Amino acid sequence: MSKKSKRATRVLSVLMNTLVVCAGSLLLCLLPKCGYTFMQETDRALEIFSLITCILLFIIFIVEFIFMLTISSSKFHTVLPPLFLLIYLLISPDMNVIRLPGAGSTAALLLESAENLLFIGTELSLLSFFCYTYRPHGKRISLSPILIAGALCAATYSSLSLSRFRSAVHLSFVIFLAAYFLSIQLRSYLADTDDAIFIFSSAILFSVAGMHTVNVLYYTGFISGSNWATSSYIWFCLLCFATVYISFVLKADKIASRAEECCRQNERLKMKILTGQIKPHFIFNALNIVKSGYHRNPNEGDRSLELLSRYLREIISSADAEIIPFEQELNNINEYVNFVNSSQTHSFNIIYNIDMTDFSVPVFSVQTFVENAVKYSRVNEIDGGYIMISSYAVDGTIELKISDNGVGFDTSRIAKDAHGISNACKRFNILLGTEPTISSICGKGTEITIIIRKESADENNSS
Amino acid sequence: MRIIVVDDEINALHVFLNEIIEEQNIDYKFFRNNTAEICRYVAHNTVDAAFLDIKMPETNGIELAEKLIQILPSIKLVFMTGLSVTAAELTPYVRSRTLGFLYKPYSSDELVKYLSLIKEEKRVLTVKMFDTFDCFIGNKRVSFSSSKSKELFALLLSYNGRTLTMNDAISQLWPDGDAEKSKILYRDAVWRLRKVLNDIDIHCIEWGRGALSLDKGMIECDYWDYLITGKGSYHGEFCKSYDWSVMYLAELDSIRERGACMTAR
Repeated sequence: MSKKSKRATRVLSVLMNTLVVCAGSLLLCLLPKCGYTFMQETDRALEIFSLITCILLFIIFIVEFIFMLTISSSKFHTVLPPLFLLIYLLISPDMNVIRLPGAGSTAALLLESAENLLFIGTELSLLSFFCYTYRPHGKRISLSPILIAGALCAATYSSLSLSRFRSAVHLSFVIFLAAYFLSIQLRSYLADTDDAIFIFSSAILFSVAGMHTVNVLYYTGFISGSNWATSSYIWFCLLCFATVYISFVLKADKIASRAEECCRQNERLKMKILTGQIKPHFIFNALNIVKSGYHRNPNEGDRSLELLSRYLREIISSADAEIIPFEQELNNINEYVNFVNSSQTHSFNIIYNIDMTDFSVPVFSVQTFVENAVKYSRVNEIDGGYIMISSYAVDGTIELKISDNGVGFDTSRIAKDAHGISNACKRFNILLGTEPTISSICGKGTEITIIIRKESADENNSS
Repeated sequence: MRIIVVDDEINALHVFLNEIIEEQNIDYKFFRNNTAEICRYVAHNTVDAAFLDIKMPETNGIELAEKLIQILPSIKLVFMTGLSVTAAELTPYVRSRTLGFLYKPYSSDELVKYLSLIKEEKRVLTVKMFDTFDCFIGNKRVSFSSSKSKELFALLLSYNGRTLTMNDAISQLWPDGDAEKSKILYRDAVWRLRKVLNDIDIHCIEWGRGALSLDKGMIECDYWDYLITGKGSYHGEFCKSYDWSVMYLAELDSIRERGACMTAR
């Protein structure tokens, strides 16, 4: 999915969330009051209120579910909490979705165990979601204590028959959960004070835990039936949950844009390092050539020095650029070859088979290939030896070729030995999205082919 | 012609002196960075041009240039610099009087180019096609980076303004070669010719795809003059050593005979 449509879904999701939450809060403001008066008189009103709450709940969770699927990098972690919470709320006695069986019956017991297991599931999925997104001090928060406690709780639950014990076990699990979460929060607070989402997440966890407590109390017979207070409490939890999601989405958006920026900076830095690698070895080789020129005679030394300084000026003035017009690169190559030839007894025959020049290349990239050919191909010792640079248009692309008929080399050694070549290949990859192919046959020569897409060439020329 | 040279480094002045000492008809005065003295000198002497270093401890060459222009608006400027400063970095006021930049270390050719610009000599390419083919800027022979690019230029000049297509050029310069190989050699020659002409600032060719055409305005060619006036140093040899040149001999010989008849009569 492209960056733009991802952003659009995020914005849409936030908007939907906000709308639903606004509608919910409005209902929350209006309904409980009427509900309260109705509820005093008839169960019908309570049922209607519950039904509306349920429908809204459904809308919220379906929306969350669908959008989270499209947004988050980890679908599993993002989708589980709303899913769990949805089922949990559906079977929660507060919601009046299912008609409750009489207390003490098998059906009631089954429902109770289902509620408890779902509660554990909800809390665990919520925790895993937050732990996945939050890493105080760059470390992932361990979930194992919660897992162990949850398993213990479930195990003791099934073995206990007395409802009071069961509720005690559950309440202690809730307390443990709260304590553990508080400790995480404290750690993260110490690490990063600006973490609003963490505060919200704890709010949810505590509210869901609170809801569970209400449920446990209901099952164990301490309180009887739903009332407006528990319903409003669920609403409060819901609001918290939606808000957390909104803030998560917003934060994810911010993180994504920051990550993009980092990526770009990274690449720029990498480029600097890559181009930086080329220069020193060249400069020292060049100084050596100048020195040998002066040894032969001062005029020759002067000439190589002038060529070298022209060449260095080209380098320095184009050092800040990442890509340069191909023609300029050719000029640099020409300066380089002239300079090298000024010192050689057998000079290099270089053929400029240039049909296209209106495209750009990474600075010193083609030059690296030529330099390599000059150093290793030994074409200057071969009768009829040449290095050829070709550029021509082939079906909407530009084919750039650096070939020689020299001694060739073993291409499998490139990665280890030739920094220059792998470096130039990398830059072609990063800047133009193309991978040079190198083929070399020992004794027959080397050919490097680079296919440059026209649009990338145009893009770079216009920018 | 009087010029002043300003550079805070004595070595740089030495280099300049080395290059200029054999030039004739040039009065030169060297300064290190004493602004007041320079201004006084410019005010009291007719100075044609100033060669200025840009980065100097007391004053900046560009600021100095502004002062000099105020004193003597007709002064021409050449900046000598080790940096890669370009005309774009100058104020329009200074830029309008700037001939260009000498990047250190410069070659004597570059310095000579500026001296001829100061003298306001028209920049033309003098072409000698009789006997062997050669091109000159002033007295200096233009060196081509390959013999075929030189031959290509000769062919284009002998076309006398007509467009030279790639096929024509190949059939005359590489008559026996394999077609694909000849094309490669043609492109190589074109690119090299283009580079040479760009370097000497003679922009006389329109580089079409598969065809070259010539703008005759910047070129003085003995062959062209001979075709029009019938006067010139033609002694039966035209672009010696180029195979295709024999085709032109018949026409040239007929002009010579006509000229000989005229003088005989």
